[in-house]
Amino acid sequence: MADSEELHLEKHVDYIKSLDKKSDFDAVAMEHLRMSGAYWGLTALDIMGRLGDMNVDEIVAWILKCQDECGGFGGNYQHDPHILYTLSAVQILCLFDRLDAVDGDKIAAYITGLQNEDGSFAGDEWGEVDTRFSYCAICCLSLLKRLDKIDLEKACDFVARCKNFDGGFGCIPGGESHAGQIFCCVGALAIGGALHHVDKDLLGWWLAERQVKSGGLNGRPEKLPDVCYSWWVLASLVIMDRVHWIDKKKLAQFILDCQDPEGGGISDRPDDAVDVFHTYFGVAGLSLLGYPGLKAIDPAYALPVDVVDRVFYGQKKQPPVS
Amino acid sequence: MHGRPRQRPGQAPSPLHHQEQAYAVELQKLMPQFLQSNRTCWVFDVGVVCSYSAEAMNQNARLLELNPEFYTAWNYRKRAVEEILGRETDEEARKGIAQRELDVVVRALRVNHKCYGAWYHRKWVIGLGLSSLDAELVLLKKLLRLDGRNFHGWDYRRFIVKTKGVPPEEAILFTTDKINENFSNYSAWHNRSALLSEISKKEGTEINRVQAMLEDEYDFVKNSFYTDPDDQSGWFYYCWLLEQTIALVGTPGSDVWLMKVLDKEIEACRELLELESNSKWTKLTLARLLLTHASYNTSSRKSDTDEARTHFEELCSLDPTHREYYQYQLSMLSSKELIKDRSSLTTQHEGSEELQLKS
Repeated sequence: MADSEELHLEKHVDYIKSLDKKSDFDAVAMEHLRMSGAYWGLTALDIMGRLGDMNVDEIVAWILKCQDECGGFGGNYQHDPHILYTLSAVQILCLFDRLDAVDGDKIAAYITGLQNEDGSFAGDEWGEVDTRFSYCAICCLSLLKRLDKIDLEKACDFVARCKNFDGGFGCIPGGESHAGQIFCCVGALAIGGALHHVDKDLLGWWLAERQVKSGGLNGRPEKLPDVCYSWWVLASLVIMDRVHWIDKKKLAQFILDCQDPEGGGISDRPDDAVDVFHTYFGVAGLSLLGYPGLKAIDPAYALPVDVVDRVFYGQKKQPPVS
Repeated sequence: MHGRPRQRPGQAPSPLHHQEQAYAVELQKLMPQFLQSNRTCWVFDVGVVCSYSAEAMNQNARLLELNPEFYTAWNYRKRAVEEILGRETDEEARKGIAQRELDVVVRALRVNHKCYGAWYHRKWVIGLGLSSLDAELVLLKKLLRLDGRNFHGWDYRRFIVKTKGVPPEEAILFTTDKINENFSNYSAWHNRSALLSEISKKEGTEINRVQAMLEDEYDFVKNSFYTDPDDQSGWFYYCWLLEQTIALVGTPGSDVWLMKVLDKEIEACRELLELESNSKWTKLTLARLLLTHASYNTSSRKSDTDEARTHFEELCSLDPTHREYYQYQLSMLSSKELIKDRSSLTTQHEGSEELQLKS
C-alpha cells in the first residue's frame, strides 16, 4: 500500500464530480437519498477546497424543487419529506451561503411539528422515533437560529434517557449503543448545551476501544472497522475532548489505505468498492485529525468551521488552507 | 459500498454485476411510475379516494424488494393500508391485509436486514393490533440466530416484548440463551443490563435479592473470560456490574458485602492473570477493583493503589494504542493522592493561615 500514504485529493474531487452522471445499480438505488448524497459530496469538496467548481444556482434550484408544501424536504424531487433530508438540504444551503433562498420559519414549523410530548422527534408524519431525528431537529433549528421553537430541554432529556450501561446511546430508550447513534446524541447534546448528560470518561473509554489493531475504528464491540466510524467515533471524541485517547496516526493511515488510488473515492475497508458516503467520512475524519491541506470541520454541525462561523457570526470565508 | 470488493480496471465484472444491471433497468422503469401515482394520491388525499389497485400494490412491493430503502414507497403502503382498512369490516380480511404487509417486510429484510424503513413498517403494522405477537417472537428467534448482533432485530424484539407485556424476569432468559450460544454477543449483554436494572428497581425488590443477583451475574460473566479473555463484550458488562455493586454502598449490610465481593473478584482476576499474564482486560479490571477496594478500606489503601499503578503502567506498553487513556488514569491517581496530601497539609497549617489573616 505504498502509494496510499498520501491523500489523492484530485482523484477524490474528480470521483465526487462524476457521481451525478452515473446510472448503475448503486446510483439508482441511492436516488431516494440524493439530498444526503449531495450533502456528503459537497461537504467533502468544500473540505478539500473545491466547492467553487460546482454550479451553485443549479443545485439550489434543485433543492428548492425537493421542498414539500409542509416545509420539509424529500430525499429527491417528488419523494416524501423527511427530517433527514431536511437537515441535509439546510446544510447544503449553509455551504453555499444561500439560507436566504428558503423560508426558515416554514422549515422550523415542519420540524417543530415532529416533536412528541416526551421530547423525542418523529422522522416524518408516520411517527418513527429515533435519536437520529433528535440530532437532525436540533442541528437544523440551530443553523436556522430557531432553537427556541421547540422544547429544547425536553428534547435533550429524551436523548439522555437513551443512555446505556456503557455510557453510549441508542435509537430509543433501551436501544443498544452504536457509534453512529452516539454521534447523533452527543452532537445533539453539544448543540443543545446539555453535555452534562454525557459520562465523558466512561463513553470516551468505550469509544477509544473502538480502535482495532489495523488502526481503524468499529461501531460496536467485536465488529469490523469501517471508515464511516472515523467520523462518528472521532467527532464524538473531539466534542468530549477525549480524542487523544486513540492513536490518531494509525487511524489516518487506515483511512488513507481505504482510498482507491486509481478511480478516486474512499471505501469502508481497504480494497472494497468506494462510495460517496465513505468518501465524505474519510475526508471529514482526516480533517478532524488535522491532515494538511484540508479545511477544519466542526464536529457537531458536520460542516466546515468557516461555514458554521459564517452562519453564526456572519464572518467572511477563510482563505483556503495551503 | 459496505463490504463489497472493489472492481479493478480491466477486471471482468462479477456475475452479480449483470443481475444488478438488470435490476437497475427495472428500478428505473418502476420508480417514475410509482412516484407519479404517489403524488396523485398525495395531492388528492382529502376527499378523493385513491384507487390503490392490486396492480399498484404489487408493483410497489416489487419496488421495495429491489430497493428496501425507498422510504416513500413504504409511506405509500401505509396510506394504502389505512385507506383499505377504513372500508374493510370483516376481521379475517383485515388480518389478511396486515399479514400481506408483514410478508412484504420479510421479503425486503431478506434483501437488507438492516433497513430502518422495513423494520419501522413492521412495527407500524403490529401497532394495528391485527397480528400474532407470538409469531413475531418465532421469526425473531430465527433472525437473531442468523445475525445475533442485528440491533434492529433486538430493538424490534424489545418492542414486541413490551407490547406483549412480558415481565423482565422472563425476558432476561432470552439473553441468557443468546449468551450461552455465544458469549461474545454484546447486544445480548446490553439488553441484559437494561433488564437487570428494571428488575432491581422494581418496587419491593429487597436489597438481599439485588445482591444475590449481582453475585450470580459476576459468576455468569466470568465464564466468558476463561474462553477468550480478549473479547470485549463481557468486560464492559463486568465494569457495569462493579458500578452497580458500588451503588449499593450505604444500604444496610452492604459495606461488609462489598468487601466480600471485591476480595472474591480481585482473587478471580489474579487467578486469571496467572493463566493469561498479558491479558489487557484482566489487568485493567484488576486495577479498577483494587482502586475501589482502596477507597473503602483504608488499611490496604497504599498497597492497593501501588499495585493498581503498576498495572496501569504495564498496560501502557501492553496496549500502546490506548496508552493515553492509561496515562490519564495514572495522572488521576497522582492528583487524588496530591489532594489527600494537601488536605493534610491544610489541617496542619490552619493556625498559621489564621495568623497571616490577622496580621
